[in-house]
Amino acid sequence: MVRPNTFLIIEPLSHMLEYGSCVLAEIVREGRRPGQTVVELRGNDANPSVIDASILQLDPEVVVGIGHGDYNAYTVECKQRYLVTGSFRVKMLKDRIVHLNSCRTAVSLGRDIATVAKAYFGSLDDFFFYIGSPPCSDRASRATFLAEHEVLRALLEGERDPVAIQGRRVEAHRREIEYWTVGPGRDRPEAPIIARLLTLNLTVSAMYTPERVEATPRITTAVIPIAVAVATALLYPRIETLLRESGG
Amino acid sequence: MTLHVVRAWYNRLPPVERDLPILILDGLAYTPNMVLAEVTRGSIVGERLQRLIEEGRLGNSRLEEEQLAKIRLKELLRRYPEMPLVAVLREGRIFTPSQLIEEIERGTPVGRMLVISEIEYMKFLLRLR
Repeated sequence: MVRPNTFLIIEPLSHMLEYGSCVLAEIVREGRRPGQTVVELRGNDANPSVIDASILQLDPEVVVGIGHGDYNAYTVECKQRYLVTGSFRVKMLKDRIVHLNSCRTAVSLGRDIATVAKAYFGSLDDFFFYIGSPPCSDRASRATFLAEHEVLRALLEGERDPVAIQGRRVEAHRREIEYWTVGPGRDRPEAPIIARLLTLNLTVSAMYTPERVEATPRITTAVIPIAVAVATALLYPRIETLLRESGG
Repeated sequence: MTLHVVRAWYNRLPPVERDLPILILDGLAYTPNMVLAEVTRGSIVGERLQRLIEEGRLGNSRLEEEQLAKIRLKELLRRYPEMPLVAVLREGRIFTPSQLIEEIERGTPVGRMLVISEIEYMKFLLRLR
């Protein structure tokens, strides 16, 4: 039985990961509530042995991590491999809500996680972010992570329904796209590229629960570029439909 | 759709998007500036462009949409200074604007993703009213 309202947040800093980790830290600072236990593993502490020990000690209900990834692996500080499809560590995520903000893990690793976890959130292909300004120095450098980590914001607010959380994640992307297209950010020079990065990340956004992962087709890595658009259409509300609402 | 509605659509577009091609007709790409000019003149081409907007179509085939997306992305990326602009959460990869253009031209997975999402973003822009 996992410990309710206990959060483990993995925040590596090297290899550009500070861009996402600083946003996670801000969300924790702003969003944590009395009675919640939130442990952040930053920089060198975001390594496999400390993460293992923290999971065993805390038994967290929620595990959120940023890191570089691929179809079968999620890495942490200094690109150390932490989770691999089929490994014993996947079993350590049993009954937890897991969000890996990382490239492509939804293709295989995420499916594996979702067979034991309560829910898994991730991406079917590359997750893009803007690095034209320093981490957390402005809205532009935060934009893609602000939208993606609506998942953590929702969890800190007490939401536990995976479908509702995914809905908030999609809505946060839509809001952010509007901000950079027709909102206050539209005249900024970086606005066009950020609106596109947000659209891209939304297109590959994925959520699985044990029931849902069984019902969705597996995509082979060889056909990913074509399959992503198809899978997005099959598994998630189409971005076209989502964006239509904001287009009037 | 009346001229008034096309104007309202045009005015909702971010200024930076108004000179990027968004529709393709008979093999020619049209920017919102060109669309507005044709519709204001009341030309046959203007009527056909207007119809594409009404129907939420960028062109007459997926191939045309992809061509349009590539042209737009390349034009847009050339406007940015040559410095690290974008990164992905995979192997710490970073891209300058010219490297992104190369990904698009070579049709790599990154380039393909950019093109696919550009098509979605163009459809979103078409629906702004």
